[in-house]
Order: sequence, then C-alpha cells, then structure tokens
Amino acid sequence: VSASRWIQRRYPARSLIENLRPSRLNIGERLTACFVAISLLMVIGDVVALSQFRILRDHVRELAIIDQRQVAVLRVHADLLSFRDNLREIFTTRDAKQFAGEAAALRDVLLADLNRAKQAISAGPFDAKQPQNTLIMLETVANDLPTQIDTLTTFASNGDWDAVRLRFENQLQALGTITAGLVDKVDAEVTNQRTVALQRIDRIQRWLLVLLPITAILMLVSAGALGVLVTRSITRPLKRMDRAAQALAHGDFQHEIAVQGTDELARLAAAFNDASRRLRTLYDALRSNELRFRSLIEHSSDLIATLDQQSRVRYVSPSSKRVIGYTPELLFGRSFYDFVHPDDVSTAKTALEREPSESTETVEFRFRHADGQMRILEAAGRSLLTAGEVGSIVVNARDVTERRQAEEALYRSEEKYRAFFERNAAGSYISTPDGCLLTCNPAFLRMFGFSHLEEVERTNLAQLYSSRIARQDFVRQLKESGSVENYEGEYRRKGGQPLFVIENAFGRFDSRGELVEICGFLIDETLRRRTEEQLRHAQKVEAVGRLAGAVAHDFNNLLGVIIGYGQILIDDPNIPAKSRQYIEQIFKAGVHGGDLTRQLLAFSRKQVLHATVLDLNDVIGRLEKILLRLLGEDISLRTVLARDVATVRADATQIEQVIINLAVNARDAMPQGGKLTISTASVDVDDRFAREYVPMKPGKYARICVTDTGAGMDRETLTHIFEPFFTTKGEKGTGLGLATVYGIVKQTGGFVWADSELGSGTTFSVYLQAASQVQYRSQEQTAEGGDLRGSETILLVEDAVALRVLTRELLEQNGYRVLEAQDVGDAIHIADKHQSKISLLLTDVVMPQMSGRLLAERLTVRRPEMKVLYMSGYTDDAILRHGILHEHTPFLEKPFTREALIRKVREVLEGPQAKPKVPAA
Amino acid sequence: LRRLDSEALQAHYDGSHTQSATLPVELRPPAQQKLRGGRFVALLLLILPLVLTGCTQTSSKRDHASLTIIDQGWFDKEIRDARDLELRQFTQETGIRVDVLPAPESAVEQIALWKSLLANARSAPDVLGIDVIWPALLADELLDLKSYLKSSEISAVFPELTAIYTVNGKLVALPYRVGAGLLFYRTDLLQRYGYRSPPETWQQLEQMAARIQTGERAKGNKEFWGFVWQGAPSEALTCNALEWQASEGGGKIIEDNGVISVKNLNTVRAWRRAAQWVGSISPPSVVSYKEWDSFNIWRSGNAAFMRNWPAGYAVSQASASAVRDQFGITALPRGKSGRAATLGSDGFAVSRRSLHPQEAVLLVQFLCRRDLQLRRALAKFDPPAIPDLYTDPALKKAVTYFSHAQQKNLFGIVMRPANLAGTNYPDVSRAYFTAVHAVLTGQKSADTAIDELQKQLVRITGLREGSTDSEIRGLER
Repeated sequence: VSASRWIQRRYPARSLIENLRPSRLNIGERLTACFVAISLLMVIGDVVALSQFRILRDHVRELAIIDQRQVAVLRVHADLLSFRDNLREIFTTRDAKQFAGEAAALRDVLLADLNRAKQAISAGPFDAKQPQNTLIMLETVANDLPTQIDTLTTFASNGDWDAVRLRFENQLQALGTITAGLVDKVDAEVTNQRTVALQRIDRIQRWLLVLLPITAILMLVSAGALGVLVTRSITRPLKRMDRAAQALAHGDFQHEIAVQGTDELARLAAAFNDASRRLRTLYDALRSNELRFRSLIEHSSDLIATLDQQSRVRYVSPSSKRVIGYTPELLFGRSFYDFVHPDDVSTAKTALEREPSESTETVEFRFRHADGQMRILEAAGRSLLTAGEVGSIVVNARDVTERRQAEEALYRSEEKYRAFFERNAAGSYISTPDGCLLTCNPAFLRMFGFSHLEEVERTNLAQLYSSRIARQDFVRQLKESGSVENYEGEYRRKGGQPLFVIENAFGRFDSRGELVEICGFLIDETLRRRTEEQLRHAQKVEAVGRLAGAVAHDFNNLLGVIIGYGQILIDDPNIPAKSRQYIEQIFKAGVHGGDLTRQLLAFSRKQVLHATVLDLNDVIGRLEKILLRLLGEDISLRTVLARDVATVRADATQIEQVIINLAVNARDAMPQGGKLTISTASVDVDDRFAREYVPMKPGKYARICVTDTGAGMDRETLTHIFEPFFTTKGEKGTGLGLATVYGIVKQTGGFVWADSELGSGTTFSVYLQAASQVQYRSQEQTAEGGDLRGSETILLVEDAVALRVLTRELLEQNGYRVLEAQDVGDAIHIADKHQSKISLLLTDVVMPQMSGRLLAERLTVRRPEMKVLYMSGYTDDAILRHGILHEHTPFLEKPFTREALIRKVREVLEGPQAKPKVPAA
Repeated sequence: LRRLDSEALQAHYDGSHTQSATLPVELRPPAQQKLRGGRFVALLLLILPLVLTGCTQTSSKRDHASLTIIDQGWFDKEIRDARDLELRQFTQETGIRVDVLPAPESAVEQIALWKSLLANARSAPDVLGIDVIWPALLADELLDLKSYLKSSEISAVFPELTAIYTVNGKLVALPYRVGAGLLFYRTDLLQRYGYRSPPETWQQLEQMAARIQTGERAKGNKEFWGFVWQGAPSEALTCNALEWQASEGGGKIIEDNGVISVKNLNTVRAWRRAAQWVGSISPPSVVSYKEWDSFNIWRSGNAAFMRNWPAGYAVSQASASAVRDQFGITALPRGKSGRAATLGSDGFAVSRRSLHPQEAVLLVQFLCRRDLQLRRALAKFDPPAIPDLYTDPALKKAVTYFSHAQQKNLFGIVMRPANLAGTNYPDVSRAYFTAVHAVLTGQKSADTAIDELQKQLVRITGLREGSTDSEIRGLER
C-alpha cells in the first residue's frame, strides 16, 4: 500500500503501465528494484526449498519416533508374556512364598518397561488421539497389573491355587490381550504412519526435483530479463547523449536530445539540452559583449592600456592621443614608465601593479605629455599577469591636471571661508528648523559653555532658548520673512546661566518653500547687558545719592544750626528747667537727624572716609563682642578667619559699620534663631570670575563673607536689596542698612554680592581690593582733657549764614577771634585785608564760586603758617578727586556739635602744618 | 460474493479447494490486454513458485470423526467380543470409527480412571459406560442427553432408571441394561442331592450348600465349595453385604429419609452369619474374591451356589464353561425381612469435552437401541432397560426367567445409597466394605465394626443417625 501511495504521489494521474516504464524510475531506484526483485526471487526459491527440506526432515524424524514406539510396545508385550509364563511355572510348584517374591520382581520389571513405553509414546509430536489412547491403555495395564498380582498373591497365600489358576487363565489373559491389542494397534498405526510418511517423503522428493530446477530457471530468466530491461533503459539514452556530445564537440549548438521518461538520464538529457541552449545564448552574448566592450574601450575618454611583465605597452586605447599626445602606434612596445616623472615611477609602479585582491585605490603621478609638459595622471592598475586569460597589467588613466588645479583653488577658497567661520567672534551655527544643530563654530561653543562639538550635537538648540515661545517666535519670523535681523534673544548657557544675544539668521528653503536649515550668527550681549544693568543701577544709586547729598548738605547746615544753638541754650543757665528739657529734645532730634543724613551720605558715597590700611581679621576680632550682644542668644556666631588675609585700604569705622549692618540684617533674617558665619579669605579674581561678576576687575581681593541660615530671598528681592529705603522688614527697618553697606563698599572701591536662595540662607560677600602697604593704624589724636579754649584768629568761610553765625558764636564763646567770610571772594578779600596772623582757615568745602580746597591753596601760598580745617556735609566728587580726603586732611563733618568743633579746631591748631598735596589719581 | 450461486456454495461446502473455479465469470478480473510482452513475466515468475508451494499444502487428509469409548466389563473375552461386534456394526452403519479403551477390573479403580480421563480434554473418551452408582459423581463432566435425544427414546426406559441417571434435572446417561444380584444354582447338583427347588431362605442356602459341598468333596473333588460370592474389599462386597442386611431388616445403610441406619442388630446378625460362611461353605479366599473369581470357580464347576450379576449367564453358557446348561438363576434367598437384591444398571454417557458430541450421541443411541438390547437379552441374558422389551414373545420364550424378573417384588430390589450420599458415595462405600471385610476376615467383631462404621459414615456424610425402615422401600415400590 505504501509503495502504491508512493507511486501515486510521484506519478499522479498516470496509468499503472505508464508508471511501470523503467525510464519513469531513477536509475538508482530501477537498479535497486531490479536487485530487490532478484534477491526476492532467490529468497523465495530458498524458502521453498528449505521448507520442503524441513518437511522432509520432520517426516524422517517422525519415522524414527514411530519405530521407537513400536519397539517399546513390543517390549511390554513380550514382558507380559514372559511374566505370564514365569508365573505359570511357579504356579506348578505351588510355593506361595516363591510365587509372591517372583511375582513382585516380575511386576517391577514390567512396570519399568511400561513406563519406558509410555515415555516413548508420549515423546512424539502426534496430532491424532491414537497415541493418547495407547497411553491410556498402557496406563490401565500399569495400574491394573499390581492389583491383579496382589489378588493372585493373596489367593496363593491362602492356598487357593484353584482360584489363582482360574484368574490366571481367565483374567490375566485380558492384560495380555491388551498388550497384544496394543501391539496390533501400534503395528497398524506404525505401518500406516510409516506408509504415509514414506509417501510424503517420496512426494516431496519428487516435488523438489521439479521445484528446484523450475525455481532456478525462473530466477535466471527473470533476473536476465530484468537485467536486459534495465540495461537497455540505461544504454539507449546514453547513446543518444553520446551523439549529442559529439555534435556539441563539433560546435553544433543546435543539436538536441529527445527526452524520454523522468529518470536521471532524462534529466541529464534535459540538462544537456538546456546547457547547449544556454551555451548558444552565452556564445551570442559573448560576441555582442566583446563588441560592446571593445567599443567602450575604443571610445573611452580614459587611457586604457595593458602592459606586459616588463611594463612594455602591449595595448593602448586610441584615447592615448588625446590624453598624453601619443598615438597607440608610438607607444606600442615602449616602457610605460619611460613617460612617468622619474620621482613618481616607483609609486606608480607599486600602485599599478597591485594584485587583484589588494585595494583599488587610484594613484596620481606626473606624466610627460607629447608636448613636453608634465601632466598629472590619475590611474588605477591591476596586475593580471597570473590570470591566464589576460596575462598583463591593466592600466586605466586619465588626465586630472585641470581638476587638481581647480581642486586646489577650491581648497584655498574653502580654507579662507572656513577660517572666516571658525575664527568669527560671532557664534555661528547651522541647524534644522526643529533645533538640531548641524554645525557651529568655536565661538558658539564658548558662548554656550560647551567644551567640544560632540556635546553640542547632543543638544537641541530649542532647549537652549530661555522660553519656548521665544523660540517659536524666532522660527515663525524666519519662516515669514526668510531672515531675522538683530533679534534680541535670551538663551541659557550649558550651566543654566542666561545668555543674551543679538542674533542674525537666515533660512534655507527647499523647492516647496519649506524651511530646511537655519544659519544663525549670535553676538554675545550678556556682558554688555550686565554692564548696562550695573550702570543703570549705579546711575540710579548715583541719582539717589546726589539727591540725598544735595539735601544733606543743606540739611546738615540746618542741623548744625539747630544743634549749635540748642547746645548754647542748654548751657545757658538762665533757661528755665522746663524749657531746657524742650531744648534738649530739640538738640537730640538734631543729633539724630545728623546721623540720618550721615547714613544717607554714606550710601551716596559722599561721606568723608578716613581710609587706613586694615587687617580685616582684626576688625572682626574687635567686633565680635559687640556682635554677640547684637545678635542675641538665639543666634550663634562663628568666625572663620583665614590666615594672612590681604590687608585692605579702608575706613575701619566704616568697615565695622558694614559688618554690623550685615550681621543685623542676618539677625533679622533669622527670627527663629540660627547660625551666623563670618569668614575672611584672600581671593584672586581672574578674568573668568570678573566676567561673571561685572564690573569686578581681576586682581587680588580680601573677602568677607557673612552667611546666615535664615529664610533667604528670591531673585527679585535680591536685585533690590541694596536700594535705599527698600526693606523687607516692614516698618521695623529703615531700608538704609544694606544701602549703607553698599555705599561704604562702593566708596571704598570694593564690591558686594548677595547670594541667596529661598529657604537656604543668604551669603553676603564683600570684596575689598588688597592694599600693598603694610598696615598702618591711624592714631586718633584726641585733645580730650586739655584746654579747648583758644584765642587765635580763625578765618571762617561758610556760605550758609545761619551755620556761619552759629559757628562764629561757638568759636567766640571759646575765646577765638573769628573773621567771617560768606564766600570765597569775601574770604580772600578779608585775608588780604587782615594784616595779622590768621591761625586757621575753617572752610566749607563746597561753595558756589570756588571750592574750599582751592581757597585754601590760594590762601596758604600767602600765609603758609595758616592751618586749614575743612568742614562739609558730604564728600563731593570734587573733594575725592582732589584728594582732600586724604587721611591726614583735617576735616569736620557737618553737622557738628560744639564739642566736636572746639576739639577739632584745637586739634588742628595744635597739630603739625598741613601740607596740601595732590594724591595720585 | 453476492452473486455466488447455490452451486458455488455447495461446491464450497463440499470442501472443494479450487475455489476460483466456482467464481462466476463476471467476477474475474478483466483481461489485461494492454500488458506488453515481458512486462508481467517478472510478476508471474514471482507468483508462480508461491502458487506451486501453496498446492503442496492443500493435500490435507479429511478426518472422519473417530470416537473413543470406555466401558466396564472389559475383562471378559466374551463380553469384549460382543462389544467389538456391535461397534463394528456401528462403524458400518455410520462410517464412524470407534476405539475401545481398556478399563480396570473393579468399580473403585474404574471410577478413578473415569474421573482422571474426563478431567483432561485430550484424554476424555467421547462415550463412557456409567454404573448406576456414578451419575452424581460424574454429572458435571457429562452432556445433558435430554437436548440430544428424542423424548420417546428417554421415555421408553424404566422411569426409575432415568430418575437415577438424572442429576439436577440433567440426564447424564442413557441406561441400556438393568440388573440385580442373583443367585446362580447348579440344577444337576440340586437334583443329585434331592432338592427340587433352589433355596428360599439364607438358612436353606447354608444347609444345601453344606450338604452338597460335603457330598462333592467326599467324591474326591477337594476344591469344591458350597457357595461363592464376592468378599474382596470392593464395591461388589458392598452389594453382597447390603443384600444380607437388607433381607434381614438391617436397613439400606442410609435410609430414604436421610438417616444413617447401619447400626442395628439385624445388620450385626446378617454380617455374623456371612462371616461364618468363610472357610465353611465358602472358600477362605472368598474374602479376596471379586466377580470374576466367583465366575472362575463357578464356571469350573467347583461351586454349588453363586451370588452374581446377570452377566453370569453369558459366562456360564460360554463354550469353555463346565456348567453350561446345568445351572439355574433365581432371586437371592429370603431373610427375616424378605428378599433383597442390589440394583445394578449401566448406561452410556457423552463427555462434555467430546470433540464430536453429535457422533458420540449417535453411538449412545446405537448402543441403547431397542434391537441391540433385545439381541443382548436373547444372546446373553442381559436384562434390557426398556420395559416393553420384556413383553417380547421371543425373549419370553428364550429365557423364562424374564417373566419373573418383571415382577419386581420377587427380587426385592434394594438401592445402594449412591444418590443419597451424592459425591460422598465412594467414601461411604469404601467405609462400608472395609468394615464388612474386617468382620469377614475376623479382624473385628461385627458389633465393633458396625459401631465404628456408623460413626464414620456420620462423619463422612454429615447426616444424622437413625433407625431403619421396617419395610424395604424398594420392595413396596
């Protein structure tokens, strides 16, 4: 079934006979089938013969068993007969004892034989019931015999010999009959079986005589037939193929083999046909190809040449005339390298004679043109010497002289523009509309704080914008107008710091008008912006300061009058006690007003500073006690003072004021208590730091940091904290604390920065320029305790009438003689007029016509002994500019008390001669 | 195959092995004209040897049914010859061959052999002779003949016999003869010693036997004995002793109501009397006599009386017999309670393992056939089992005894307790004849032996002890 299924599968819808045609089967299958068929025939023949021999053997064996059986039965019968005879003999003697003994012995012999007979009979392989019956008979004899003998013995022992005799004759006979019957039976059976067996043997022998030759002949015939059939099925197509092969050998591509069947030979024939067809096609294709390639080479603009092993030209395309000026005829047989520049020969040779497996790089070398010029040839070569078909070196060359020159020009041009791009200070970039950076220049990298190009490539430009809307707006503008000019953009640097730029950009659009690329140029405006801001702030502070200063000047004069007269009245014993109290209140308010104006002036940096070289650690050390008291118990103070902190040149009192103000500010920022840290350090401010903190200049600085752990401030608050009257403490604060700090620091030439974040405290950093001088501590010369009264002549110049009057009053009260001048002219005039000695010039600094300093200069030329004491409500730029505020310049701050005036006057009068000099700017 | 006609079918059943010849032409495969030359040569070459080989195996011999029979009564040549004759007739009539298996002499060994043969399918004989005491023992191994025989065949037989041969509603064998213990007597000697009739009572038998024995011995025949019977410890002794005790009112060992009744004074008396016969009117070795030993003495003319089965007639009338035509047959002597003769009957049964039950039944039917029974009765005084045959004029004329035999009362038929004891019967019988034999040989007193026997029987059967019926049921029936 499986074979038929296989055939069905393999040869569907074909008749059985079609399928049985040998050429339908593969040769292997065919041969296998043939061998299997022959083997099967042989096996069948063998099986037939063997089975017959087997039957024969069985019959022979059966014969032997039959014989054995016969012998056994005969023996039993003979035994029984002899047994009977023996007993009869004994019987005649009538000897019961002998009878019994003999009977037993005979019985045993007989029983033994019976058993043997039974075995012989049951041994054979018998089908019928016959031997079974024989066995039963023997069994019966064997069973009955002892009973019979026992009976006989009993009779004998009883002496009943008559009964013995009768039983002997009548009944024992029966046993004999059985065995005799058995003998007959077995004999008949045996004869019968023997006959049957012999007949069978005979028949088988005859059958074998016929069967074996028939089988052999059939096998031979069928094997021969199969062999011929199979051989013919193979040789026929082979012959056809042989003929076809010969035809092919003679170049006849048209010859085809008739294909029959589906076997290997049929497939081979089909393949052969197919191959010859292909060969035909291939041959045609080859010829046309050959023509095509020839024409390609002949008309190629390149020079194509083949060289032999000695580099002699074997073939060169006609283009040689055009490329190198020689006709192929001229070149033939000459060494190719004769024309190559001697310096390039080895390079060219190496490159052109590469093995096919090596790289296909081209080589350039100089080649002598027929016109004598050296031309640059770009060539590729392959050594195909070992490839049998070609057997030469193939060279393909073209003149690239012009191209090289053009390339060089291009390179130079490109280099120019590249440098332009690379070295441009404006950050230049090209990006896609969605912000993907394509390229950028180093300035761009610097601007955004990137270290290298790869970093930028990972960043989207859109992310660098401070707001998305700005970006969208920028792109929109670009799309609308094609370019954007002077766009003020705000970006974020890599670290998140703002970057302000002016941007010029233009878009590149594709054919559909879609924006493809953005080319932008950024000019960093951050520094300018910051400076501008700083400037704006400074201007604002300046304006406030100017206003404050202006007010303070006049106000101080007024306060001076109030304080002065107040004091006079207080000292007047005629004033009733009640009134004195009022006057004292007026006096105190005046003094307080004075303090206020001083603070205002400090902020507007129009305060008079007494700069000395200071060790900041000393200053802080002195302040510590005061600070502890000031801060209260809830706040712990920690000072971290660096060793060798650079000394600074500043007014110690003012610096103390700065620290105290900052500490107080910190205290107020920590209502729940906290930690205040004051630290000092020497700081080298470099360019980078200076850029970051405009308008700081690079250099050596001493720094004081005051750090609290308070609530901190937001950015908005931070930008305003140094403004006067700005306060976060409501009505508690004056809004002047930090403004004062700012003023003092600025006036000292330093910088103050506040860093804060909400919730994590605030740090104020005060940077003061380091002073190169060694520390110098000014000795406060006080005339306290001494006699303050005097009698010298003092020239008082003051344009504020009330104050002048008061001052004269106060001076005169203390014994001095006062020459009163209301302005500079008046003063010069009085000085010229006054003949006697004028000991002291007490002059206001700022006056309408001339400054106090110029006045002093002029007057001291004439009267060199005259000492000068300036007084002022503020320190003007002019004063600063003219160096009046030199630390040794006597100066009286308005408004002043009577004591301050008298003491200062006395101090100056008794001090050394003032040497007005102009300090270096 | 649907189109196979009746002829083809017939040919098929006839065992024709050229089956293809019987196929209708239409069914043959269409001729393969398309086959070209040598194409199928190979195929043919392959097939031909197979066909040829197959032919050698088809010459199998056709087996006619061959039957095996085993029967009692094998030990006598006359009986054997007569049986062989009948079987040959059967073979002639039916073509069925029958093999006869030899059987041991006595019933005890016979039943053992029967049982062992029936237990094995290979050895089981197809047809078996069944003694009247065996139905219960062998019922399981035998076919129910009711389903094979015509009801008329069964109803023709004495219903009492069919009742005995029916176990649990199954007719295990068909009886072909009936018999009972008989007294054979020498007419010449009785006449010689002045007796006109055979003895009526046991006492008369003793007296007549003693007198004739003394007389004959005086004449010089030292081997002469008055009375021979079967005293060997075998089934025959059971029959003899049962007759003694039953006739004396000693019961039937197990009564019809299922009580063990052997222990009674009548039995003791009967046994004691028989024991006195040994060595007086009977030879000392009578205690080893079986049926054939009695026949031997009787046939040689050395006995005046013999207790034996009806088969004794054929034996006595044999050509070599010294008592030919000088003997008579009568019922056994009367005791205090009347006559008693043990019933003996034989039937034929078919083994349930028989490979040819139909043929075996044919043989049973043949052997129990009316004409054969009649022929046996006429030739051998074998009493038939079919009551009608007793009215046959030829039989009446030939053997006058049969007219008496019909009168059952005359014989006082007594049944051995075979059906009552069922499968225990062989043990019951063995215990019984062993006990009797012990008394006969003087090993035990009758009292002791009977006392022990009673207990033994109760143990064997599980039945209770009881008293005998005063009347013998069999006689009444």
